[in-house]
Amino acid sequence: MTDPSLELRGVRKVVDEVKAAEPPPIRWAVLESELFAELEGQLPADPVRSPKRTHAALLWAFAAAAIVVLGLAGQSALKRAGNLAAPVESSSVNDRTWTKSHVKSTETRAGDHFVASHSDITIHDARLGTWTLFLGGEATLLKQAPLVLQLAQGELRAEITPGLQPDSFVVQAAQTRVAVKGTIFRVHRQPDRVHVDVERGTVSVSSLGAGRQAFELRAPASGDFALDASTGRVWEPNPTEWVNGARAKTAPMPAPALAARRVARANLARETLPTTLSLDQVGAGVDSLIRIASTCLSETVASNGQLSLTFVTQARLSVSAEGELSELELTPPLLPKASECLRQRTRSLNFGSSQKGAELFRRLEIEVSPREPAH
Amino acid sequence: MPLFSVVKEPHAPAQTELVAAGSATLQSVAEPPELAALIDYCRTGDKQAFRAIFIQHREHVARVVYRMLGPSADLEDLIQEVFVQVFRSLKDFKAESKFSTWLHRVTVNVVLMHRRHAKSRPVFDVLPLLDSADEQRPKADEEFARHERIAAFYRLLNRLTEKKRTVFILHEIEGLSPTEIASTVNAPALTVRTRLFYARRELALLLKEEPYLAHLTAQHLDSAKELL
Repeated sequence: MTDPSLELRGVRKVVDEVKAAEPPPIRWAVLESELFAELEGQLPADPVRSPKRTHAALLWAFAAAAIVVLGLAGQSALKRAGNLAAPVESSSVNDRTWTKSHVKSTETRAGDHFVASHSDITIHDARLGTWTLFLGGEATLLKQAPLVLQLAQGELRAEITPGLQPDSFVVQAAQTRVAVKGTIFRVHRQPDRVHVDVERGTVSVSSLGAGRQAFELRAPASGDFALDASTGRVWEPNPTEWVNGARAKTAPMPAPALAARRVARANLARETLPTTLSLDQVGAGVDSLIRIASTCLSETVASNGQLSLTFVTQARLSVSAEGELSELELTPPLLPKASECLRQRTRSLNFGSSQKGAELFRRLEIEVSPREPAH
Repeated sequence: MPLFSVVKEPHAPAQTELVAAGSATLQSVAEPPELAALIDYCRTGDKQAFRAIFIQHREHVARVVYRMLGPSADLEDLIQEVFVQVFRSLKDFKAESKFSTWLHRVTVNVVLMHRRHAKSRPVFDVLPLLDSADEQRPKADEEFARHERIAAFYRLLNRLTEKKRTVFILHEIEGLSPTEIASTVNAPALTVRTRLFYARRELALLLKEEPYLAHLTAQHLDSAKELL
């Protein structure tokens, strides 16, 4: 029998390597952001406000001063909104910031910030529905019932439970207020305007002001509005241009704008994808790959019908942003016929879309089951 | 003679400091004035001071977590958890050992706690997702081989029982003495030594089953035969 000490000394090199190994690159900025967001609820108030916080407070104060209103929905035709809601003050702003991707509404409270610094943030509310703040967006929860969000930048999408009271979900962006009921819609706060897409249901967009009237968008519809919602353009199957809340003239949606929106949506879709594949996606993809390889080997390896074989190989996989397997290298390789079979059959394999795709190294254990003897 | 002795590096801060932590006499350990001031500020809730501590010590914490955990997708989560625990426990830090020693111990405990909880969850025996731009490029052959050896080594370690794995890593990789490990895992020092003995023996047997490490064993056997 071999002296185990000799065998263990063989690992000595690896132990030394482990001790000297540097961890993989850490996303320190994201980690720091999440850490301090988590600690916000535990840390006592800062004795001195940081300049960043002061700036944020000024921003929210400015937002509070912004007056925008409206909230009507579910009606059949374009109409003016008579019940103008008062803007929600941002006096309840606190220091708590959410950055994680999924948040329960029961965990939140008025004044919470949402900063989608490294991924989308999805908030689920059992009563209201779900809203998602897309990557790069910043919002503040001004009020919980009815729910009022101040969108400071970026874009959010809301899917609201049908049958709610008017104004039960409100988004304020600059001096524009978007109020909904039983609707799926997006609001995009841009530097010079507010863009609204309505996928289902109806939303009303308005600036408060004295007696300012609302625009109402019925799905499918989109609208671009000035920051104070005093003017805007609404695209619907029967396009209508509005000025100060009054119907001005019909104007077909210009073709270049349509194309630009399609491009913008495609870009947006890409931006909202995860940076790279999730562990689940990788696991599912590799499992499929192993199944295909097993089938290919079973078909090409001669067997006496009784032996089960396990083929162990190291795989390097390149997965494109579209999720397709763009490169596959096995060391050691499969038999030529099995390799060709694998190449053909993995064409339809898809790991799922991501922004960057991924390059993966995996150890594959491919089991080859005995075939039934041909009759 | 031990089967597997790790050369103590006198300049390794963790080991040197842990000796201080293990001393019986508990005296206040003087920290550099800047660090002492930061710790005091942290205790009053100063976020900027805690941020400074985080930035100063995060690399060390990352290395300890990585060595204890091996390649894992949970690395960043655990580093974050360590600093959350540090913040919560800083008020209990009595300066009876150096801050870095105390931080090392908190880190070790967080990883052990994580693994205890993870035992009830499904385990994915896969390498972590390579998500940085650098990691997505093909590695050079030697780098790739080293990466594979380390991953294989942790696969072997994960086949040991949790108790044996813990003492092996704490002793062989983190350089803790059996007495120090005993206080960490709440077991007698003799028990720790016993677990260490069986961990080494099992590891020696498991080596042959790991293709990325078996050749290393073979190399050493060949060398031994040549010497004979």
